[in-house]
Amino acid sequence: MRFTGKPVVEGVAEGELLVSSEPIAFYGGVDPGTGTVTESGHKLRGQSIAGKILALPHTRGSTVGSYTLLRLTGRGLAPAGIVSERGDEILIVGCIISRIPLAVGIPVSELLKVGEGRRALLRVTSSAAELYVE
Amino acid sequence: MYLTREEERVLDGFEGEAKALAMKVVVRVGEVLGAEKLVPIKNAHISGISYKNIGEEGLAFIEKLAGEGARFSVPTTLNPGAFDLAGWQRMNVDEKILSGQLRIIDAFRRMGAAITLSCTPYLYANISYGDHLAWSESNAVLYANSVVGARTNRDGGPLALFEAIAGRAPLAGLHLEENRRPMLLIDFSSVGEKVVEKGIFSAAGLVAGRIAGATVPLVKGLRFSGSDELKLFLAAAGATGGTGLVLVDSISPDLRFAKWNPVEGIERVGVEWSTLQEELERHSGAGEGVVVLGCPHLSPSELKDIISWLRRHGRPKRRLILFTSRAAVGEAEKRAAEEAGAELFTDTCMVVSELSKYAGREFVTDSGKAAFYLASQGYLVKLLSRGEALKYALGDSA
Repeated sequence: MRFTGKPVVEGVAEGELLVSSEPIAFYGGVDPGTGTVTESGHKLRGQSIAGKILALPHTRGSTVGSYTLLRLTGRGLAPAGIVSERGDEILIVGCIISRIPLAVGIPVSELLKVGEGRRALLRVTSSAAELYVE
Repeated sequence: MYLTREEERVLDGFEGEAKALAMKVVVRVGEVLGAEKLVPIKNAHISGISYKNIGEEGLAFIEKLAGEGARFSVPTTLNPGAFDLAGWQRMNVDEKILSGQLRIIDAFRRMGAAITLSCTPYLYANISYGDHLAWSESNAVLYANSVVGARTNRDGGPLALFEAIAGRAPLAGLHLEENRRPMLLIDFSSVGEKVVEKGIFSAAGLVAGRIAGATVPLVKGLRFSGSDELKLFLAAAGATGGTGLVLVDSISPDLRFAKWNPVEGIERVGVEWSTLQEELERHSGAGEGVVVLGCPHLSPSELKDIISWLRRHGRPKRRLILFTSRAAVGEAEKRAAEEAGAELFTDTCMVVSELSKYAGREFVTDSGKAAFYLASQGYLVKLLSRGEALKYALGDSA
């Protein structure tokens, strides 16, 4: 299956697809020491975002979340690539400084239909963003 | 997006890698926001200064930027950090936080920031109506937009950092006149007098923020006697709401210069007394606590008023901690506050320092913003008016 979005941060990434139906607060909601979602009540609680192609509607919470992505990258615990329904400041700044490929404009509802745990390839160039799911 | 030749040059790295990265961030954010072009900014204010918040990686990144030669293109000020640079001995600061925080401040100094360490840049910055700014720190953004009539989005700390280096912000959101019109009327008319009488501008702000959410509201029916009350009101609105502009009747310059009718065709929400009571009950805290004032940082006149009130009424029986900016106090004010029985800190505040290390877990404050954020950090907080909080410090029951 192939999805197209808008390119924001260029790069190529491969990993297991992890889809979050709800927004993620990177600061406070993800443990920077393990890459695990820790926010109580969150649907992804206990799951690791490390090395995944992470899909989410958008972020929420503190803008320090941009630095959290950088912290995760420094420890090899960041997502390999991020696909977001809506682009927001925390993601754009965080992905640029952490060099995480980022595409926006791909609806989470479409990706939820695909199912969990599939291999995915994200390719973002200056003019196009494509997500292939096995 | 349209970029000027100069902006293209920066983006292509002719002014160094760090500035190119900053311009790239600003351009990409602008593209996603749908900006047609960038706008030169006059001034920047950066939050996300506290080592407690941004940690080792934030520190490493900021040091790397400074090391690569990044420099601020416009006058740039800083939000509070984790402790008072001159009074950290009184705050029981961790050694790791001490050295991390000093390195963060040093990196900002090398990039050209003024080390103000205050959340009230609007009291000192040279800004006026119509100026484009890149400010983070919600209370500062709200004050600049709503009271001064300057134009800034409610940026996050990292974005404001890059905008300060690039000297540009995306021409989008609150930088554009069409997005500065009210979408909603919040009417305090039926409770306005009571709010003034009881001095509960913080509770009113918390309510206004909850109603407004991320939209621009027009607030009517509240009479503010000065900027100190506006500051408390707007800071509280910024804690519960995501908006960066609250148009306040007979205060906001945007309303004075408007060519449109602000109330035409917008929904009206009336605020009832019961709503304000509920808000106060939400922050009814513990029975006892340390009194913390200065969120946002106390202005020089507020500080003077508190000190002279204490001189008239006697020394506090409970701990009273005041937070203000280094620009507001000299040695004389510090001594006067101490002699009057208050503890005074600059460069930091109750929200970004490790309060539990030096003041326990139970507090009384007059700040809706502090009540909101301290509660979210697990502290017990009681919200009172300033007058009540001071009387409580003297020994009254809360």
